[in-house]
Amino acid sequence: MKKLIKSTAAVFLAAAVLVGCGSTASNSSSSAGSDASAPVAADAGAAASGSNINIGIEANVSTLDNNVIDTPSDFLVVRAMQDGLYEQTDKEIRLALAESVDVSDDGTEYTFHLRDAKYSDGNPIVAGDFVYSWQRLVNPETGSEYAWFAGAAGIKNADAIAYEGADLATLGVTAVDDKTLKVELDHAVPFFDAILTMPCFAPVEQAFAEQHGDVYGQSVDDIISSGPYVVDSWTVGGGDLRLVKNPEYWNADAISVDSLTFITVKDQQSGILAYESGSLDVVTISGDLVEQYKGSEILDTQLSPQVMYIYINHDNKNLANLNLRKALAYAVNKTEIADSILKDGSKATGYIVPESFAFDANGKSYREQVNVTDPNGYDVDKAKEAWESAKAELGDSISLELLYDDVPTSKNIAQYLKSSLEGTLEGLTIELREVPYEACWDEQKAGNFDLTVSSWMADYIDPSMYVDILNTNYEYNLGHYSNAEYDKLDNAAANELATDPVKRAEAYGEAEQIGLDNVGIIPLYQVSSASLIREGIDVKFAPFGSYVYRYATINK
Amino acid sequence: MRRYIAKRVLVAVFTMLIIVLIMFLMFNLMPGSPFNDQHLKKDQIDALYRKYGLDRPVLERYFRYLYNLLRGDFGVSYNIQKNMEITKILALRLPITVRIGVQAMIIGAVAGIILGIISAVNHGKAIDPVVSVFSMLGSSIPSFVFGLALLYFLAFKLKLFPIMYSMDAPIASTILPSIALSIFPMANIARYARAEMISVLDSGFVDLAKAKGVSKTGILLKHVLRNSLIPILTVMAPMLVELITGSLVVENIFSIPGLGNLFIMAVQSNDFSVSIAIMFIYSTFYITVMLIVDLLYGIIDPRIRISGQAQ
Repeated sequence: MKKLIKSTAAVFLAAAVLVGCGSTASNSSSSAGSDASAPVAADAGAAASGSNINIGIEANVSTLDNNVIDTPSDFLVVRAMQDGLYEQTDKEIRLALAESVDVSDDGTEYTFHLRDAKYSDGNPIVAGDFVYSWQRLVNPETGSEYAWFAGAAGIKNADAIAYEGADLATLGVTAVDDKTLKVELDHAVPFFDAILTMPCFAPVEQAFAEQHGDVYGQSVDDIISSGPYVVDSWTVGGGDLRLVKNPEYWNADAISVDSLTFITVKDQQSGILAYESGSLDVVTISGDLVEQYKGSEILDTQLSPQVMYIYINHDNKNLANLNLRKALAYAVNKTEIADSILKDGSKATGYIVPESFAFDANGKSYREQVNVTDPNGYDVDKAKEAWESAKAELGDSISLELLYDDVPTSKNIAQYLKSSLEGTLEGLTIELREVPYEACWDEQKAGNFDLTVSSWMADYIDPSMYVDILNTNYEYNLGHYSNAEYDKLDNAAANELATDPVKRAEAYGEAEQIGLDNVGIIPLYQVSSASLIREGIDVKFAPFGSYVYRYATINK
Repeated sequence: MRRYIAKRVLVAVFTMLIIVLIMFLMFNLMPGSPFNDQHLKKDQIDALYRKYGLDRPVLERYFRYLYNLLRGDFGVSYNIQKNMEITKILALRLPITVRIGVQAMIIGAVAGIILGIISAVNHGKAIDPVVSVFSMLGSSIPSFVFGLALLYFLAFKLKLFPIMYSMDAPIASTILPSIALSIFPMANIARYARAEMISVLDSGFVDLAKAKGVSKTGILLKHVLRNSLIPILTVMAPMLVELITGSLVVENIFSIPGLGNLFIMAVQSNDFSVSIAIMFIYSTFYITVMLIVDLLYGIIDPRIRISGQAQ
């Protein structure tokens, strides 16, 4: 449910300014190849004995308190440090600290049986620590931005505690004994396991956290680990953060790399130089820089669960006309946007729900499970035909306002849309309205647009994250699309079909088809995440859109 | 003289109070809140406001802030480094920024004065315009251009320095950023030094020394340099402040966890307790340096006045 903040904006700008230097970096990429035999970088300060990966992060880690973590860097580090009931590094969601789970027939009661596991301080991980952690998560005093996850997971009374002042003790989680945790849900939630892989649901050792109070998670001495890695050194405020293997971790044998060093890289160009010189093993790149490394073995592009759409304001009397919406949809050459304007590995899409997302028990993604066709592919003739019908119904001259933010990507797309739409649909005027990034979301939420370019990223892995955006009652249905059949299918999938994965996916698929047939929204492309990764390093990219380092390996 | 100093110090303290008040009001009147995530609902935000005392009236908070400030307590960060005492955050970052600034100033001053001397001594000869062109370039090309060039050649190609800041090599990590930052003061000091020395070289006492048979080097070091240095020192003080408060871009290129970097993050994320603390430090720094310069002027007043008239 997150409107993605494009952290790439700043680096994109920097990249644009510094192209001159970029070519030199690319020229020397061959030397990086020769360094590949020595993936263990030496000069970044990680004087680690044993294997180590130096990972560039864009922002410094703000806290290691898993209940309040916030930035992508926080998540990246904490996912390597803390273990939850479930874990996910690839398609599969596996039990982690829970050895087994019993689920009631109606899907509203989960009983977890915990394995014998210890924190890095040697104390046992007990069921009460989950209760403490989850209560802490929803406690308004904690101020966690992810308190709503507990509600989304369906945990009984989570929202009432977080938002309506209900008593913490009423939260639907109880420690039956040290090894048994019972979780009660308000309703069955099919993605309960997926949402529980989020680090905010990891256990917190109550005695330790209370002893450290407000500074819990703020320095090396104020945090312990329940998972594979433990923090060894951390220069708070932007310096390096080094994790080493947690010897107490229950699955320590499965952890191959001895240490992970996270290094803040404020400038992408410097990050590339650091990579080329061997002091970084992994660095995120974007924009033109991706194009420079295209075809190189060290470039790793992955599709993120993030889709860029053109939202259509259905309250606009012209846009209420299906022919006009069809004309717009046919006239947009998505492939050209992805391949010629972005050139960063992003992929044109005609679907609402992205690909490589929401895998079933057989490892099939949602896109592979459903049978949805894209009715609105780029077709100039069809566009003109629909446009003529629209003009016959609405008049010859139609003007629409396109709202977008001042991030370079959005600007480029908006300008492209104006020229291509006006070029194809004669008589159409697209008025561009650019607003600062910080102000754009408010404008979009208030419905102050005819058309707007905006991306949407899933917070947890479930098709509902995307199908919901055209549901009449959804808070973030920006264009106020409303279709009774669509709502019926979407609601059924969330409720009565919650325990039937096959029918549920079908319902989402049918809803998606209705949304596309009626041009409720125009999908443009699925955003790609690009990184340079030193040869020999194997790290998994999880479907929630991030690398997960806990099981990374280095093949020398 | 004592009265003069007391007056100046009082004015400085009063200025600081006003600055803190203005900053406090500004950050409180500005739209947005440190807790502006779209997922936070009103109850949670209210609870956070209560927790941090932000629900109290502005003036009450201002006086409490002043009281805490006197005890060296800047409060805690709301979101950059959640709940961490700001004094702790500053203690980590301030020394890095100051070190880079001071190093840049030393490099800039030494090199600038040497260039100035070369230029002044060779006044009218071929080398003089070369130094002038360098000064012009140095004061007009932004420091990040030098920063990137240094990074590429000295750190990446020749591997003499780390590319990014490393806590394990704090000295080596700060040399390139210091050099990048030093170009501007170097160029300006060279210009000042040149002008000042040319005017001193023309003055009567130099002629007298020459007539007395003092060696050329002796004249240069004992008379010319000494007399030109004082005005140069007075321009160096505000330059040092600018170096320390204006190192943001260079901090970014070299990924330096300094104060400039923190300030931008604080402003962007509405972490206004951090913003106010940094602005307080910048202002204190500026005012203190200005105060020292003023007092210096007071002490060396007669000479300055005479040399001013001579010009």
